[in-house]
Amino acid sequence: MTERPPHVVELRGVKLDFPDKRVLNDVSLKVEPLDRLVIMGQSGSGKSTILRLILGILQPTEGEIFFKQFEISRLKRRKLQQVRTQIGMVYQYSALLSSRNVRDNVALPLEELTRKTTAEIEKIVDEKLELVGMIDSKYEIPSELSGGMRKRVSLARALVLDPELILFDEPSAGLDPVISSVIDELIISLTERSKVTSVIVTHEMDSAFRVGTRMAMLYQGEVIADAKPEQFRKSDHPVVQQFLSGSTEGPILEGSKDAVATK
Amino acid sequence: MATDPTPSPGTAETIVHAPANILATVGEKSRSMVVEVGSMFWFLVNTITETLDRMRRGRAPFRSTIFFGFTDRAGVGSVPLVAMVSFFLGLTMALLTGYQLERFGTERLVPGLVAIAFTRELGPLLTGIMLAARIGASYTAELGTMQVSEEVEAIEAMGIGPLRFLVAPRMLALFALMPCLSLISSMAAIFATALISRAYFNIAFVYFQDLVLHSLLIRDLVTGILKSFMFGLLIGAIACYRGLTVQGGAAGVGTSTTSSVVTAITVVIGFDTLFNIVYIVFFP
Repeated sequence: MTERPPHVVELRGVKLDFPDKRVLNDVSLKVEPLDRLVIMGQSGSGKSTILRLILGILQPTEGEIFFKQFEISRLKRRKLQQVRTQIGMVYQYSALLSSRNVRDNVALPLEELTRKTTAEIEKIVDEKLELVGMIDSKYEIPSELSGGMRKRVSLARALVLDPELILFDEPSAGLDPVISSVIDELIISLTERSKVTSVIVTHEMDSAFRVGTRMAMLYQGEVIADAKPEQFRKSDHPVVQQFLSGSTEGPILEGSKDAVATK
Repeated sequence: MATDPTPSPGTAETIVHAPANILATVGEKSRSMVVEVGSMFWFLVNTITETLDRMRRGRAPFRSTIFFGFTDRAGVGSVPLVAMVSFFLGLTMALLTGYQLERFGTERLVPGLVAIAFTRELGPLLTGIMLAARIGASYTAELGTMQVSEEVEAIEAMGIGPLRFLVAPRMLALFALMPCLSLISSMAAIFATALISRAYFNIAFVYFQDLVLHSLLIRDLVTGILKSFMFGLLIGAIACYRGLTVQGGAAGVGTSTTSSVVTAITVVIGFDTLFNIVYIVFFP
């Protein structure tokens, strides 16, 4: 039997192949309780894939993925569904059910997965919507909301079952800098208040340093740096340095199709 | 210099290879069809096990309001279309057969003919085709859009079984409502025949009723109803499967919707033929 890891999430030597390419090549990561781990990397580097692996939506080609004592990739469907209720996920484009209003979206996990009465559900929904400041839009449908508002509703939905881990996929993507900061602050305050561990995937530096208590950099399917923000900033790895400075000179663009644009 | 490996059409080499190429294409197509049928079968099995799993834990598989929403859309909403089309078809069929039979003085056979044809065959078949187009297409487009906008994945990530939550109520609604609709279809066609029989062939309504009841067998009704159940299940399964396997954004939703309707109609007609052959062989 595999020994139980003391971390909330642990990836051990995870490899993932898609039919045409290798996405992850030996990724090992640990997320301690109450960490806010930021995973950074270029677009298409497999950051969001890591979140899908943690949720068990994708299966690794090799390696092990643990959420607490559960080895995600070996769980049977029913157990996996139970484990998923302890994990909240906020999608890049919010992924709210477009035909249901805000209240019904947030209430969905409660209605489907718990035996709570309508009154109890109503109370929890109001409480979570209050937390993210969306109580006034309770009966609006997602298409009537702005990107930032949708993200906040999505956050409320992720919080509704009081998860132990929340995964954020590009929380500031497509938002203006001010709203992006609002979302970041919301992530910090909510995770601290609710004592939740979180994994945040982003490629936006400002947001990453604002939110993260630890940062990891993914490059060519491997974790090339994993440290606290201040140490991460001082890293002498050329890829990390180029990523932090946003310069076009450096190893990231070598041999890449994107390099054409800089010539 | 690199040469083009594929010979131009019409050369000796193309002609020699043509049978092999055709065989390869046929093989490839049949293989993908078998794979498709297999995954559709597992899709159905997984939907049923996921739903039963939930029931075993003492929970309703889905909310009744959701289910009745679907029955309302698939069933009640389809009544006008099914009734109207069947009514017109019944009129046409009674007229055409009536004029032919009149020459032999046997127009009294018209009521029984239309009644048997519709209860046993045309009612379920017509309803199946109409529901594949009306409801199957909407299921595929709806689930396909949800798939493309990550809604299905979000549902799965919450720990809710998407097959149980999204597919089961839709499929059950079609399964349960299909026999009712094909009954309505048969009734509409018989009503149309009654009007034609009265107007053109001087068959009084009371006599018409006798003729229909005499010619109809319980067996015809049961066959029609059994078939309808199967058609409902097939259309529901094909439509939902196509919706959840959409790939490639908005264009993918379009392609899948077309494919869903075409596949469902073909499968319904194919299954009907197969059913008739088996039925006639075993219960002559």
